[in-house]
Amino acid sequence: MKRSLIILVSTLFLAACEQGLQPVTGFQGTVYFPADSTGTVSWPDSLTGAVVVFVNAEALNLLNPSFSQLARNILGFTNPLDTSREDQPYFLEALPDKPYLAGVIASTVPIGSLLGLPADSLAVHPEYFHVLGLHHSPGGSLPFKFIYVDQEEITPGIDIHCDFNYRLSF
Amino acid sequence: MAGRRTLIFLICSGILLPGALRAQPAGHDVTGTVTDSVSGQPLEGVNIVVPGTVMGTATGPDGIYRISGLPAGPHALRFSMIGYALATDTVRIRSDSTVRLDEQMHPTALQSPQLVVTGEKRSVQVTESPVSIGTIGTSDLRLRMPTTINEILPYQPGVQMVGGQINIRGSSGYTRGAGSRVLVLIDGVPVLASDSDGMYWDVVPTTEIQRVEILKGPGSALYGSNALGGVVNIITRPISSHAQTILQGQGGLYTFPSYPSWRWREAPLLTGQWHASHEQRLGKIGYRVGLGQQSSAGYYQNGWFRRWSLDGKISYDPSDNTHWDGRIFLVDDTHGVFTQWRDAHQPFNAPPETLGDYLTNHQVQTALNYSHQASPRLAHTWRTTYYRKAFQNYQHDNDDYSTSHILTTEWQTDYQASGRHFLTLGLQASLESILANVWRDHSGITLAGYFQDEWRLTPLLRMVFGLREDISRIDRFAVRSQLNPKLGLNYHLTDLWSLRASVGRGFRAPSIAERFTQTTQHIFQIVPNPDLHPELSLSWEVGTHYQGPRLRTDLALFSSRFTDFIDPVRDPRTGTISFQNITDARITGIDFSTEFQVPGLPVQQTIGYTYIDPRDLSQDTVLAYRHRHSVVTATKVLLNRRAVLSLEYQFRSQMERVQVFPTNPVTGADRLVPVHLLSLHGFYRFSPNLTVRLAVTNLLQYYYVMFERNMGPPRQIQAGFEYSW
Repeated sequence: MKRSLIILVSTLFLAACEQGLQPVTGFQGTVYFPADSTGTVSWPDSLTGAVVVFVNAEALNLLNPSFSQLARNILGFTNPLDTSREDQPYFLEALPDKPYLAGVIASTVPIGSLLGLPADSLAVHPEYFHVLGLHHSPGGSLPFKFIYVDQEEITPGIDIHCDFNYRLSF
Repeated sequence: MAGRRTLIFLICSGILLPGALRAQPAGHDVTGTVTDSVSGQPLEGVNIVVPGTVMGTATGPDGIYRISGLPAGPHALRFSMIGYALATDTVRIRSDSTVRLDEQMHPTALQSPQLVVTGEKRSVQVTESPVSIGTIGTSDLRLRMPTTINEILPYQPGVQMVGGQINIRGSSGYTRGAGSRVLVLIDGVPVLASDSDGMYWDVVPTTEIQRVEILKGPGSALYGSNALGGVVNIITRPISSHAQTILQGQGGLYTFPSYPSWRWREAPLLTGQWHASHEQRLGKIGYRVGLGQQSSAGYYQNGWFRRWSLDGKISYDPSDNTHWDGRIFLVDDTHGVFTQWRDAHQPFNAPPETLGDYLTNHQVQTALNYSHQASPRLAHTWRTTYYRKAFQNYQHDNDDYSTSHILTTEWQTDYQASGRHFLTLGLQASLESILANVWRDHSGITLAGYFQDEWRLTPLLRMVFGLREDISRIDRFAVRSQLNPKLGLNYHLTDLWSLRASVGRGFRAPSIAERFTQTTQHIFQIVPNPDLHPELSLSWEVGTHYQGPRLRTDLALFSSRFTDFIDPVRDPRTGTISFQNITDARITGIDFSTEFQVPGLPVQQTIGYTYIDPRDLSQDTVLAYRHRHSVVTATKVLLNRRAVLSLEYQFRSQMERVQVFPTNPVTGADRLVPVHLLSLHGFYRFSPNLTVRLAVTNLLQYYYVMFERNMGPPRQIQAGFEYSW
């Protein structure tokens, strides 16, 4: 009897103590692609898809930006964006109290198949990728803006405006 | 060489079988009534076998049985039924044509079946089996109210479900439904779809299931391909001897996530199902027909389904020694498609572009079985099954379809050669045809022969030796053959306690899906690999089993070494995924289970623990999608003769490796956690005709991922009833 009760109580205690997955912290916003007056986005034939990525800003040399440098510091990315839409929301999970940069990267090869590859693999193939835009302050002097995530919160408004002729330069 | 071996085997079988068929039963009848020793009520469905012969039967609703054709002399009759102690009695037949033997059976506290049929393709006492076999009995099925049978398989020690794929002792991992290292049978007949080798668990209504047997370890020496990690045998219930109509229904809901940001829908997440059946016997013919419907809003976006099922069974007993039965299952299913969550912030939401994705799935599964006891020493069984499965995707990025047909026929002869040897011999042939765009059109043929000798070396020591050869060909690819032997030993320390040891080879031919799939699903691009070849395993196990009236316990140490293990691999240059014979692997572990009645209390306690060490030997890492530790417990309280309440707990340690989205060590994204699930099940029997049930699964609303970016079910509350007349 005692043994059975101990097993039962231990079971309940163990199960009740564990909390499992909980809401995450991160940032969210909307990606805007250039569209004509009818809302149609004309993607260049060379680009097959795009994702939002974010990088550890502390590790970047902002005086000498390059795709390889960005690729090596990618912390995460979204699922491929819907290329038929002019705008779409996204979310990225990120830890609080660190500076990040977020941008949209398009690829000339099927981008879905490249997700999950080590950052080094992406970095050695810069020819596959084009940066379409970084999150920045509208009207600001800098082409980027650091993103900070608060404790237990989702930071909103991290919008990214894309340009198919964007050139990466800080 | 292999072809010659099989040819010799077929010729020998051809010589043996016609002679066997000519043998006619002769001898005497034994008849009697089996009753409950406490209540004195007759017992229906008691299994009776005559050890040393191939003969057996079951009692009817009035508890009466009859066995015909026994020769003169003494015979032991073994009576078994779940919830009763195994009973053996002796009858001596002299010149009388009919001898009477009545039997009283004593109720026990434990609900485990004592006889199993899966390990050796015939009825064998659990304590005599040289391999590990788990069972799920009728009472557990009725208590837990599963929508499909896979929902309750993880309550068995050593069995886990990962994304609908069954793992026995960590064998399968997760391959998105392509290929299975566990063979699934219905009444002894394979039911894996011929295109993907995947199991569609909805093919058999749970209301039609009498019990499930789980062979833990390779079964290829009897069952061939896919039985690499184990075999699940779903046994349907026999047709009742009296006319009855059964109506079952249940409804419930998933509770909303505790966190507002995770809530994806305002309307309740309802689930419901009903099933009605009628069965009757008209002389020597019995039949049952059933109709059912299931639907669910799902617990995640696009997780809905609607399903209709029609089932039928017919049996014909032209004589005491001959039995025919046939069955059919038809399933029409439509369900949403969910590949992975939208993002970690909204884990129950599907990506927006997939919201309209769904697929339709139609299945027809039929079987015709014939069994004949030609003499007390000789019995034949013939099984033929046809399975058609057709699916059509309606997804934003693909319209894949496949229609597969497989026809399998098998002849099995059981022969009690002497007091020491029991021989089983069988031939099997399968024809399959597939019409599909996702893996193209294919056809194939498989021929197989098997042999098994159960040799009682001493009254206490039993050896089982088996061998099976499979020869298969797909399209115009080369013919492939595989020989799979097994050897098992069982030593009875006492009537209730035994030791066992076994070694055997398992094999699995790659599925059509693994070899030929070419498709895109969400972000995954899959390309074909026609050169894939079969994977093999060599497994051993030592164990002990005790089964008494108040305690059952089983302990096994096991190890399986796999070669040419098939796994999905991402090409580092293109990012595409294909199935490859990548590696050698080894899974070693311990499997322990016990069931006992708490002294002085109407409480039954079940505890199971499984430890596995799943190693990828080529890469010196752990195999993906495995839980190293798993624990299952159930505390069942028998409140009175009418009510039962059961509190169940499942623990699975955190997966140590996944393949597509591993945990990001910097951001913590795609975090994996252990699984803790507490569930409550109960029923109350208002009258012999009416039973009501209650089930709450994931009582504490614990959140976890089943595999990367797929949440496990939250709390689900269900109530149901069963009414018969």
